[in-house]
Amino acid sequence: MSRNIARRKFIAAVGGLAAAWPRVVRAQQQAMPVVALVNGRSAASSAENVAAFSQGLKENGYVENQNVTVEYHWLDGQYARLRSLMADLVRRQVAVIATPGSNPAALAAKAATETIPIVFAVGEDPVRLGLVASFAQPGGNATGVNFFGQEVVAKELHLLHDLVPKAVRIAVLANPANSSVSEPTIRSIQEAAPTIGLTVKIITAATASDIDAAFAGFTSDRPDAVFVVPDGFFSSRSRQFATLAARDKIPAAYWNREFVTAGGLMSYGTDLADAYRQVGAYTALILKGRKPADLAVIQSNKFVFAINVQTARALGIEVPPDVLSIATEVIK
Amino acid sequence: MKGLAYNHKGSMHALAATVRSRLFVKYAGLFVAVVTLALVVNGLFELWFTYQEQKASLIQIEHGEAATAAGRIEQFLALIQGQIGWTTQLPWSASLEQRRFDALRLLRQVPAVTELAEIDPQGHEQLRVSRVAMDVVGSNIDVSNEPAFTQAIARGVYYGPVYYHRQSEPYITLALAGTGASSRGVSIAQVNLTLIWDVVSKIKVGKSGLAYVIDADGRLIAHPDIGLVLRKTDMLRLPQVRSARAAGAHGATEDIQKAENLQGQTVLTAFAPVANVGWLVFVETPIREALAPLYASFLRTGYVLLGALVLSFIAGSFLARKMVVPIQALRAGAIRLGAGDLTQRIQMKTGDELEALANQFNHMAGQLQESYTELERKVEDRTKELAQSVEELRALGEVSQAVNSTLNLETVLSTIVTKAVQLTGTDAGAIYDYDQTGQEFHLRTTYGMAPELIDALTHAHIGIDEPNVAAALAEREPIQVEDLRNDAASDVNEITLKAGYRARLVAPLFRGDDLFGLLVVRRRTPGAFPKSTIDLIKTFAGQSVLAIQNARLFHEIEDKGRELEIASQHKSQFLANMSHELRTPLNAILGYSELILDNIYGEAPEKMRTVLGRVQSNGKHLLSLINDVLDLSKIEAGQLKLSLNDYSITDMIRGVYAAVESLARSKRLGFRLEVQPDLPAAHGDDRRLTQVLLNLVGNAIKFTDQGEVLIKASTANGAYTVAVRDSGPGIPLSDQQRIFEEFQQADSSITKTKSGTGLGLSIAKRIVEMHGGRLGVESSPGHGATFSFTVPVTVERQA
Ligand SMILES: Nc1ncnc2c1ncn2[C@@H]1O[C@H](COP(=O)(O)OP(=O)(O)O)[C@@H](O)[C@H]1O
Ligand SMILES: [Mg+2]
Repeated sequence: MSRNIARRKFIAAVGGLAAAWPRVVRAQQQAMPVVALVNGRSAASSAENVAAFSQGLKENGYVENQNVTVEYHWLDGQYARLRSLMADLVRRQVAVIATPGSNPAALAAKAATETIPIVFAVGEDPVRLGLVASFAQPGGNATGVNFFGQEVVAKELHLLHDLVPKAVRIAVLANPANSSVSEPTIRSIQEAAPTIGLTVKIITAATASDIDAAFAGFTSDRPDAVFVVPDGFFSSRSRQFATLAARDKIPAAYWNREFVTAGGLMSYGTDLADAYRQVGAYTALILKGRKPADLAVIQSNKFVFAINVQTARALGIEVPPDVLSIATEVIK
Repeated sequence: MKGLAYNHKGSMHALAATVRSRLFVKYAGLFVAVVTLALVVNGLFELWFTYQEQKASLIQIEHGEAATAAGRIEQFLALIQGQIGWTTQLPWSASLEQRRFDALRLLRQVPAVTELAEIDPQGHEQLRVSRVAMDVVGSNIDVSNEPAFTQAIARGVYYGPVYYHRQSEPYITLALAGTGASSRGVSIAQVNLTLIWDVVSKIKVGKSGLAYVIDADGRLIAHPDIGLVLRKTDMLRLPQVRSARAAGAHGATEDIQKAENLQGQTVLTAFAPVANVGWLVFVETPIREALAPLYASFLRTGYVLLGALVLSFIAGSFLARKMVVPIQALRAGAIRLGAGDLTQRIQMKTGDELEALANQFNHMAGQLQESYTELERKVEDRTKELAQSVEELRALGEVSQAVNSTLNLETVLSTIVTKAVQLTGTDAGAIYDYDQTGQEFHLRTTYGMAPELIDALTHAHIGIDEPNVAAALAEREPIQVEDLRNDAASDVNEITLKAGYRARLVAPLFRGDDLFGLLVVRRRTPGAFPKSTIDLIKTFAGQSVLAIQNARLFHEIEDKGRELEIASQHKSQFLANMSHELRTPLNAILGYSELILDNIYGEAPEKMRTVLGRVQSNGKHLLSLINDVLDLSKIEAGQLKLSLNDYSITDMIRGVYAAVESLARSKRLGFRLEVQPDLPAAHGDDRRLTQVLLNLVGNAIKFTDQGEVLIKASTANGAYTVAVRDSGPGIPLSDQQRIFEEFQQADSSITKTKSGTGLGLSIAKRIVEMHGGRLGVESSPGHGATFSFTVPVTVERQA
C-alpha cells in the first residue's frame, strides 16, 4: 500500500517534470481571472490604496494585467448603485469581489452571492456585521481584514485633546447613509468624551453640500474642534474638509492620514493602505485556490497618528513636543 | 541403427534450433545479467548515498533555517524586552503624564507592542496606554496577584502564554520588573506576535519546505497556514514535536529527522529552540523534495543502465557468439554424425578444448564410419543371399505353379530350364528326354542356347554310355565338369566347347528306377559349381520328374476317359435302338394276344386263355421294362425332352389315384389323398410328372402288404410338394442312396421278392431334376417309407 503510494508519487514526480512546462504555458493562455474591487470612494482619491492593493496581490504572485484583471468600481458615494452592480458581478461570475474599506459594499456583496469569494476590510466586527462566522474560521464565502474603526475613535478623541487641550466643545460630523459605521462610532465618542471633559454635538452630512452646510452652521454655533466620523464618502471629500476647516479656522480630527496630507490637522486610525494591501494579499491567496472559509480574518494593527504642523501653525496651535514625539507622521 | 538415426533427423533439427538459442541466450543473458547486476548495485549504492547526503544536507539547511528563525524571534523578543526595560528605569517620582508620553513613544517605536501597563511596586496599575483605547492614568487597579506581576517581580521577566485577540491575532504578555531602587515596579506589555508569523511564513526551504513554531505547551503559535494556528492545533500528536520537547533546549538527544507532518506527508524535519520562552521552531520539507535530486540521479542511473545494457548486450552477444559458434559447429557436426553422415568432419581451429573435442568427434566419426562400412558390407551380403533365396523360392513357386496349373509339359519344362539357369547364375540349360528303345537322350527343351548349338545337339548322339552321363546315372546325383577342356574328349563336349561353354552340370531325371531324362546347365566360365547350385539343380530335377510324370498320367487318364465316353454313347444308342426294335414286335405280340382273347379269331379255349393271360401280363411287364429302358437311354443320350404345358396338380394327382386305386383295393390297403384345397395352376410336363408319381405310388402299393398308402400335396414358396407315404417294410439307410441309381434295388429279402427293374426311381429322379426339383426318401426299416418330390409350380425351361 505505502509502496504503491510511493510509486505513485514517483510517477507523479516524473510525470510532473514532463507536464510542468506545458502547464505554465497553458496557464498563461487561459483567460485571466477577474477581480472586482468595489469601494464607495472616488477613483481620484484612491491611488495610494490601489497601489497598496496591487502590492498585496503581488506579494502572493498576482500582477494586474499579467495574470489577473482588476475591475475598479468606485461608487463615489453612490451606494444605491451597489445592488445592480453586485447583480452584474454575480451574473458575470467574477473570480473575487474585493470590498476594502467599505462596509456597504461588503454587505451588498454578501447579500448578492454565497459562492463568489468576497474579501473585505471593515472597521467593525465582521462577525457582528454577519460577514463571517468567526475570526478564526469565517466559514462562508467571505473573509478579509478587520481594522480598528470605532474602537479607536476614543483614542483619536484623546489625541485631539492632547493636541488641542483648549478645545472642549466638539462637533461630530457623521454620514447617516453609512449608519453601520456612524452609529457605533457616535456612541463610542459620546461615552469617551466626558471622561476627558469634552462635550460633543452630532452633525450629519451625506453629500458635499451637506458638508458645506454643516460648516456654514458653525458660524452661528462655533465648536472648538470638529471630529469627522469615518466614512468612504467623506474620504473622497478630504480636500473639501481641509478647505472648509482652514476657512473657518477650526481644528479637525480625522481617522485617516489622507485628510492630513490634504490639509487636515490630525488623524488617528488604522493604516487603511495597509488594509488594502492585506485585502490584495488575501485576494491573491483565493485566486490561488484557498477557500475564504478557511482564511482567518486578519486584523490590521498598523495605526497612523498624523499631524499637519503647517495647519496647526495656521490655526495658531502650538503642538506640544510630547505629542509631536508620539506622532507617526508629521507633515510640515 | 541407421534407420533410427534417419527417423529422428527431423526432430533433431528442431531440437538443435532451440538448443542453439538457449545456449546463446544463456551466455548473452549471463553477461548482461552480470553487467546489469553490477550497475544496479552501483546505482543503488549511488542512490542510497545520494539520498543520505541529500537528506543530511537538507536537515542541515533546515537546522540552519530553524536556528536563524529562532534567533530572529529571540532577537525580536529581546528587542522588545530591551525597549520595555527603559520604561522600568524611570523613577516613580516622575509625573505620570511624563510616563504616559514615554509609554506612547514606546508604542510608536515598537509596533509589536499594542498596550503597555505600568504597575507600581505595590502592584497597583498607574498607567495604561494602548493603540486602540484611551490612555488610562492612575487607575490604581490592583494587579498584584496577576502572574505577570508576581512572576516579573520574582524572576525579573515574565513571558505569558500566547493568546489571541478576537481569536485571530496572537499576543503574548511580556512583563518586566524594574531593577533600580526607585524604579521598582513592573511594566506589562501586550506584544503582537504577527511579526513572528511573518518571520515564519517567510522561511522557505526548497520549494515547499516550511517553518512553524510551537509554544512551551506544544501548541502551534506560528505557521504559514494561519488557520492551523488559529485553530490552536495541538502539535504534540506529532512524534517529532514530542521528541524535540523531550530533548529540550539542548537538543542533545537523537531527534527525529523523518516523520509525518500534520497533513500526513512524510517530511524531513529539524528544529531549534527559542531561548527564554521555551518555544521551538521547526522546519520541515517534504521528503519527495529531498528525493527530487534522487530522481535525476535515478534517471541518470537508468540511462547509464540502459546504455550499459545495450553495450553489454552487444558485448555479450559477441562473446556468446564466439563461444556458441564453435559449439554450434560441434553440434551441427554431431547432428550430421547422428543423422548418419559419417563422412562429415568438423573443422575447428580454436586451439582450445573445443578443438580437442572436435578432434575427438572426428576420430569417433572415423571409427563409426569404418564399423558402418563393415556392417553395410555384411548386410549387403546377407541381403543378397536373402534376395537369392527369395528369388529361388519364387522361381520354385513359379515352377510348382506351372507344374500344377498347366498340363502342357512343354511349358512346364521350359519354365524349369529357364528358372534353373537364371537362379544358378549359369548361362544356358537344357532338358533331354530319354529314349528307352534307343538307349539315348534327345534334346527336348532349351534355354539360352544358340540355334546352331540346338541344331548340333539335336543331331548328336548322346547315349547312356556318355562318360559324364553314365556317372550321373550311376550315382543318381548331379555330376559336374569344372572345365570341359580338361574333360575327356567327346562329340558332345566338343560341340559344347565350340559354343563357348566351359563348365557343365548334369542331373539325371529319375522316377524310382525309371529314367526320364537329363537336366543340364552350362557356364561360359570354368570352375566348380557351388553347393547351392547343385542343390538347386537337384530340386529342379525333382520338379522336372514330377512334371513329366504328371503329364504322362494325365495323358493316360485323358485317353481312357475318351474311350469310356465313346463306349457309353454306343451303349445308349444301342439301348435306344434295341428298345425300339423290341417294342415293335412286343406290341404286335400283345396286340395279337389281345385280339385272341377278345375272341376275334374265334372262341379261345379256357386253357389257352389262361396262357394268353400270362403272355399278356408278362408282355406288358416287358413293355414297361422296355419303356423304362428306353426312357433311361433317352435321358442318358440327352434325348429326353420335356413338353411343357399348363396343368392342374390336383387333376394330375387324382388321375394317378384313379389309375392305381383298384390295385390298392386288390391288396386291401388303405389308400388316401390329402391334397391342399387351392393348389395353384402349374406349368410343366404333367405327363412325365404323372409317370413319376405313378412310379412312387406303384412302389408304395407294391412293397406294402398291409396298412395304407397316403398321397399328400401342398404348396409353398412357388413350389409344390407331393409325398407318398406307405406303411411298408421301409428302406435301410444304407440303401436309401442306391435305390435312385439305375438297376438298383434295396438289398432286402422283402423287396427282392417283388418284381421290378430298379429303373423307376432313377427315371423319376431325372424327370424331377429336369423340372428343377428334388426327389428324396425318408424311411427306416419296419416303419414304412415316404417318397416326396418338390417341383416349381411354374417351369419355363428344362433344367
Ligand atoms: N415304397 C417302397 N418300400 C420299400 N422299398 C421300396 C419302395 N420303393 C422302392 N423300393 C425299393 O427300391 C427299389 C428300386 O425301385 P424302383 O427303381 O422303382 O425299381 P423296381 O420297382 O423295378 O424294383 C425297389 O426294388 C425296392 O427295393
Ligand atoms: Mg418301380
